[in-house]
Amino acid sequence: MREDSVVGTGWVRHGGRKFSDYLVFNTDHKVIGIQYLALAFFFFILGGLLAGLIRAQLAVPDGQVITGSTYNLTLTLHGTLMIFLWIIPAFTGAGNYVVPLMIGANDMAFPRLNALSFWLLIPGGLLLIASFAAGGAESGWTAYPPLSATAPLGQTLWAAALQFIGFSTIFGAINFIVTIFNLRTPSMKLTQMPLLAWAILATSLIIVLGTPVLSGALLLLIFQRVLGAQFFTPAGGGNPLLWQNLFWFYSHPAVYIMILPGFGIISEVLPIFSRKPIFGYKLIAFSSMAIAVFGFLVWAHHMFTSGMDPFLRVPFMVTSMIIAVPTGVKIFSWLATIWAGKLRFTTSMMFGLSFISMFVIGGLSGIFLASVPIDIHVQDTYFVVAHLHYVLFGGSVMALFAGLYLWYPKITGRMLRERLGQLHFWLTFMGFNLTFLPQHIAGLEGMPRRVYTYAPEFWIWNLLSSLGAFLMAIAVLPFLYNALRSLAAGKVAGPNPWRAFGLEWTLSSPPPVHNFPAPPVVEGDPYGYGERPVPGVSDHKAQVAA
Amino acid sequence: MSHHTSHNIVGSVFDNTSKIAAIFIGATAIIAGSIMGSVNPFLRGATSSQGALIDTLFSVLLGIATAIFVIVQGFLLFSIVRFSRDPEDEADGIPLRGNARLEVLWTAIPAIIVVAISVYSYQILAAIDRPQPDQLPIEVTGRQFSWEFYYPDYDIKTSELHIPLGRQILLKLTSADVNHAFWVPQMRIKKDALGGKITTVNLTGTELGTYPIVCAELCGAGHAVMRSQVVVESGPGFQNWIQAQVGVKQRAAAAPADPKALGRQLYNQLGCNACHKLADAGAVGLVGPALDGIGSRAANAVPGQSAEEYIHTSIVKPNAFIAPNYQPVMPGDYGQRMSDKDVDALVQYLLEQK
Repeated sequence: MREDSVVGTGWVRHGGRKFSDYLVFNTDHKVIGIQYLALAFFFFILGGLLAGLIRAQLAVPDGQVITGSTYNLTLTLHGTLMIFLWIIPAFTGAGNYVVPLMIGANDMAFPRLNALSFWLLIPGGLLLIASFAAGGAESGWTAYPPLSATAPLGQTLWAAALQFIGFSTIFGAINFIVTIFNLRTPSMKLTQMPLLAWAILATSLIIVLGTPVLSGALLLLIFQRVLGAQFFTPAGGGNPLLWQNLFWFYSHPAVYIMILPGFGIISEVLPIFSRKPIFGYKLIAFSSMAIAVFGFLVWAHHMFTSGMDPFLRVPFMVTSMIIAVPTGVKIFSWLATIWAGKLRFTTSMMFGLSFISMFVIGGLSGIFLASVPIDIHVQDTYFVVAHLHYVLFGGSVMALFAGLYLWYPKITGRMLRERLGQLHFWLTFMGFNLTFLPQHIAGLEGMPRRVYTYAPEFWIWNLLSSLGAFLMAIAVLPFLYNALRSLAAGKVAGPNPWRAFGLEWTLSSPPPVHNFPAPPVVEGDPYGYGERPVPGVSDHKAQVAA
Repeated sequence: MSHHTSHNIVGSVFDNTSKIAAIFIGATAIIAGSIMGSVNPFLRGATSSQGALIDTLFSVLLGIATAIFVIVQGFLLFSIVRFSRDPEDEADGIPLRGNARLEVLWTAIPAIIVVAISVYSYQILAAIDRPQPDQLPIEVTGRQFSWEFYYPDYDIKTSELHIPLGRQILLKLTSADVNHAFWVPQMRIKKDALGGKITTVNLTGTELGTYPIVCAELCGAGHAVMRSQVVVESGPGFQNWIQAQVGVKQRAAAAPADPKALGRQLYNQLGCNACHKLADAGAVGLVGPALDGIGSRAANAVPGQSAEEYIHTSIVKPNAFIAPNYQPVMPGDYGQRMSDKDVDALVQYLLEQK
């Protein structure tokens, strides 16, 4: 099964040898990983352009760039794209590429299902773009009925798009779970698994348990829109809160789908560039699983002002508070990991460190939101917009970039230019804070979210936001240039440019089509810095410190 | 290398410089937390008794969050400065894999803090929800894109909310169409208005004044301009306002032949006043075009349309003609909600605005 003759040509292939291998149904997890990452990055740019449109409209209180209706379409597509076609597939892509390598597997457990998971995103993405063109998906990414039940055609296309994307993630998650349990190299115990594999495992369990609920809810919405069912409209005996319960039963755990892989990446980046073992391995792995369980018990904190049972708000407040604890444990463990290390401020490390710094802000504003009385004031305001962007951009996207800069040499065989990377980092970091820090204040002072016009008193905060967004847009350019140019012009990376533990670094860069010639043998977890020599790194200075 | 016990390693990575830094970071956290908690520059001066409770809770959380923020960012920055590697140093750091005491501590302390915040938040919530015996009920209906207030005790219907100072109001919210959320930022109170369901919230104004009412739940193209205002009045002032509203209603009922009075009443009852400025009706809305003098302008607004046709169309099909620099956000259902007689009365009333 290892000869090249079986990899095939035409529309079904295995392995990435030439450019056209990346454009067709390919069953190699590394090709699929790159396909995911490239597609996700395309949607990141598209979602970013929509964000630019939003910030252009809001640069002045009575902006005339777009109408109220177009504005609602824009914010709906921005949120939907960034969540479902950027962050989730980008993490799936990164996991697809590196997790089998990290656990000594030759591929994912179900290679054809893996390819199907990716290709389901194409109709999903096309339908989402069509929903924008058709008009009507104007109810935000949360799509609350009755508004979403009565909207024109675009809303149906939106719901259909999410069905495709939902099945894509469910299939992907099943694949990850089976791969991690069954294809791990026999010598690697669960407690020696890289923490990214733990994080992807926890994420996949959430997806398998949660996403079918979204699919069901979307089906009800489609029935209501297309067949005249009345699940969500009171006039026909339905209940608008039913959607909110189903939607958030999935979509709050989905927040962890979008952040746990980021936690995993940070747990890989920090030890490598601190030259120290991860601090508190078991507690970090355990806290990922705790988040996966507790994540299902907090959804109603999105509904504190919605008219849900007033007393039930109290237990949901308590669970929402308690879920901060396993997250806090990770933050402290990461701080202890870099403590007394030998820190090297590569671009990957800069994104990793800024992840800690920014995610803490999103975590702390989350405590305010979990407290029912404060949520009564700030729910559905720009405070929430600021909070979610500190978590999803300051957290997830920073982690994604940390991972991209770490694994780019492995994936392409070439190094990225450090100076361009640092430029990318600093522009992103400054632009991000300039955009989202002021939004906390605008929200507290009374600016609701999802508005195309606002009172003049909020002008200064919005102007700062719009300037920051401009900076964030510029920040992408050095990254794009760097990533494309380094493909050919970058310094040759070699198998292990970071002198890192981890099975992926024992292979050539890029790795051979079938990964490992024989099941690799591991000596311990991939964090043995200062304890044992990094395999294959001959430089004596890289050996254990005395 | 020798196998350090966990204790020895901790000793070797936590030297005197680190101790001084830790004390400095801890002291800064306490001082910064205390200052932010007591000054609270972000959320103060609420104009309802429920809002004042929320502001107090916010101050406490702001103090705690500031302290945690300083601790995490402080240790992060200190580590970045202190442990940055020399360019030539290729060695590894000390293999410190964990510390049971530390890990228990930083699991338990945050757990205690969040449970304490929960308990305190619950007490505040219970105080916010506690009803007073002499509540004044007011029924609130949200619709795309206006608010309507009905006072069952006085049988009057208005498009802005007037409440007496210091008396607790029981707002009973519902929606005529999609989900809305009633929010008075200066009073901190927010509640969704849903179709087919009544949600309730207490509100006690503690400061005379006029405060915006904002829709906080995305409800369609005009969500951003779905506004009204709440006017907190003294007891006598509120009674005068009630009497005036009752008087308007009675005069309209007694003199149905006077289309001008009926038109003015409709203008304010249907919420036209929320968006369209009109001196004759006392309206100050700014969302849509001002209608002062519309009677003289209407004939020339659209070629081929008489003044009457133009105004009539603009009420029942608001998106047919959009005035320059305005957005197509006026609700399109006035043709269904109003009788033909009422539409005619409103058109006549507006035609007289010369």
